[in-house]
Amino acid sequence: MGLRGLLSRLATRRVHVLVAEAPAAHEVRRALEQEVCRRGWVLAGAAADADLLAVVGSPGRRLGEVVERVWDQLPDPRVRLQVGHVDQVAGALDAARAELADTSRQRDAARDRPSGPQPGETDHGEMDHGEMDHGDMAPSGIPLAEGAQDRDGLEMDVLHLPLGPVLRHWPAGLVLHLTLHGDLVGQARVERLDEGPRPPSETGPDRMLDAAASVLDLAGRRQLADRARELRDPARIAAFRRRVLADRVLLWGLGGAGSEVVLRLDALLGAAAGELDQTDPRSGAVTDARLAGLVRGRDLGEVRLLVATLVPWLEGDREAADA
Amino acid sequence: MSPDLWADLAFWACGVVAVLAGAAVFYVDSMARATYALALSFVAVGVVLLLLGQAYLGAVVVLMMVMEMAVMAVYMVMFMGMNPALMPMSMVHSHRAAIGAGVGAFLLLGAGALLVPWPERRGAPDPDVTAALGEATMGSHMLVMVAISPVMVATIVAGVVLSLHRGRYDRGDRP
Amino acid sequence: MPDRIRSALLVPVAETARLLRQRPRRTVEADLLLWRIASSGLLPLAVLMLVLVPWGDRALVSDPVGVVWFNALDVFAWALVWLLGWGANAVYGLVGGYRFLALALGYELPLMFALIAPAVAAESLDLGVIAAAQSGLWYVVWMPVAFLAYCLGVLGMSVRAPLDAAAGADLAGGVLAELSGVDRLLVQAGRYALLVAGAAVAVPLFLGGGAGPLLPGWLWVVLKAGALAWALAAVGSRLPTLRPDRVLQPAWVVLLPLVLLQDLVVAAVVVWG
Repeated sequence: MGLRGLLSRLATRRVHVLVAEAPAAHEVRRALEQEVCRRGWVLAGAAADADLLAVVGSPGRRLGEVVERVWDQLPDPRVRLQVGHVDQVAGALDAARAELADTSRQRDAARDRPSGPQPGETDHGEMDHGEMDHGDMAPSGIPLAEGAQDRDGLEMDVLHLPLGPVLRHWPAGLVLHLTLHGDLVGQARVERLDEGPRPPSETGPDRMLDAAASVLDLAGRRQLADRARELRDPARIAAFRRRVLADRVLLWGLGGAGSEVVLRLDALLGAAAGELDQTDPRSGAVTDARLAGLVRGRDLGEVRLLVATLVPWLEGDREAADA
Repeated sequence: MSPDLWADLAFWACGVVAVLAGAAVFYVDSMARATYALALSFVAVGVVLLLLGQAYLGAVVVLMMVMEMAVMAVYMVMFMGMNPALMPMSMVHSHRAAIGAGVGAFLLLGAGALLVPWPERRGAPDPDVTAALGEATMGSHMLVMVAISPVMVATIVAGVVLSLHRGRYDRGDRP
Repeated sequence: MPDRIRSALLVPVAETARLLRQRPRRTVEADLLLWRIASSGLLPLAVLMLVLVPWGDRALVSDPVGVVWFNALDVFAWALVWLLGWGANAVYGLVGGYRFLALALGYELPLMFALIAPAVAAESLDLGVIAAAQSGLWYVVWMPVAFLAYCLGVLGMSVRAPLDAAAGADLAGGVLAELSGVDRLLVQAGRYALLVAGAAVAVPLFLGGGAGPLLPGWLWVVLKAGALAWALAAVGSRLPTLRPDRVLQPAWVVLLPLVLLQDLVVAAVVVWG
């Protein structure tokens, strides 16, 4: 094996995986995430950091379009895969790694690709005012930012940020269209891609722990999040819940002991441990309209944490579960 | 080449960078580039001060100006209606008058620097030039200035606190 | 060698190979000039800091105002990290840049006043003189608050937990979100280098410089700097990411007065001690 072979083998030792999750595929997504971590690979937070785009489940038309745009944003060398079933995960990852390590094939693919970004392929990260045309004031179709009054009545620049649908720790198929003043949310609108009948909300311990782990991940406590995902036994979950609630610095970082995020995180862990009354008012269930109201005026980071606590209910249909 | 020659070369190079970067402020077409061109100009001035033997003043100029420009860039971007993208946007108001005033001031100051009969050096510089400069500019008012500066900082902080009834971030008074 | 240790040691090698093999991707209407300056600037910044450190008896550049130069250099992190977020022309990066400046306001003032304490005690701004002045007692022993504020500042300028909100997971990587290929490699290497450089400057400031038994001075500096850098990273990884809205108030209302008090104590000891 030559130097080039050694480089490509080393370079694909830790594949960075960006997951695009279609609705009703969370079990496959969890299996994929577990397999990625077991191999010592990395779950990427953004397209620029990814080698592999893993599409989980079967996306509808709208989500499919977004996946194409995200695929355009992956740097070369890149691979994509699609899995619809838990059993396919390991095989699909093996095949993807082999394809990623195939340098000559990757080079051919990269050659056919236009260099530099194409205007209009802007995605979640970028400012998206698509339709408007301001001539010279709008290079690549991006006009000057508009101003609007923020919460304190100051005239500030407005950024438009669609959060989701390809985002870690985020409900599948959900897009939250935000206007931002710096890091503060101004207006919010909820959109569901490929709206169809949703499955009933699943509120089993696995689901709750996964959501709690997402919150811990977003708060920067990776090791604690990994531990939460490994828990099975209710007694140990209960012990874990007490441990998290005793971590003063963590709670303070999440927004303080009485904050919405901490209350809901506690409810998630409580429900997973079977210690929570089903009728507890904290146990989730917000409508899309309520969600939009809930995030207005908050810090962007707080919005991410809050939505992560609500994933089980935002992905499923609460009323169908109750019926 | 002797160290003195190197120092002279660095001095003139920094002078040219300072002037060109200052001019670039009005030439570039984005708020961020204009702000950081100004920062570069100030950094070059800081290095010039360093080469003049005022190491402390040079470091402080660099420190203050980079910090100031980093904060100013945010104000420029947030309040002036700009995209992060490179915008074809003029940084100049009252073009002719501005150029006239700028060139006039430059010529006046430059002529002053070149034509004034500078005194010959008598004696040697103080071993601690920073302390000597402080004594020379402040003299007996040093203690007063030292006492005033913390009061000024406290006034600024208190003023900001009093003028914002809630603060930029929520403090638990959400409905 | 056990497999676990082997693969842990291979992580940086594998990541470097991966990023070198990756073709950097650009964003629409990115400000490439400023973006490149920012992504390639962090590493030289760390090198300039290391140049100031006295390795045993003498530094590469012995500077009578080394402490002020270190302060001026760490302020460059303000500019570079903000430009890193700005250059990409994308929301996550821009918000990350704003977050960094807000956090910087929180850590920089305590850091500045923390730097004053050893300088006052040694009656010099020269890092070599400050190191030599600790022959009796390391400054960390009687300036713990200043040392703490300094360490917090080092974590802040190298965008490391708990002050890594600018590159937080909740912003999909924030200022790092749009970086790929060699640009990302330079930024990540720069962040590690800044952590090490900050730890190395702490050695003459608080940890007695090259003083130590048996081994030569320069080796003690290396050992102390390495140990501090490792400790900072280890402590950071056990703390959550703290957003500016959580940090600013305690940094200014609690930490800043405490550091000022520390300065007062040091000044009193120097005058009357």
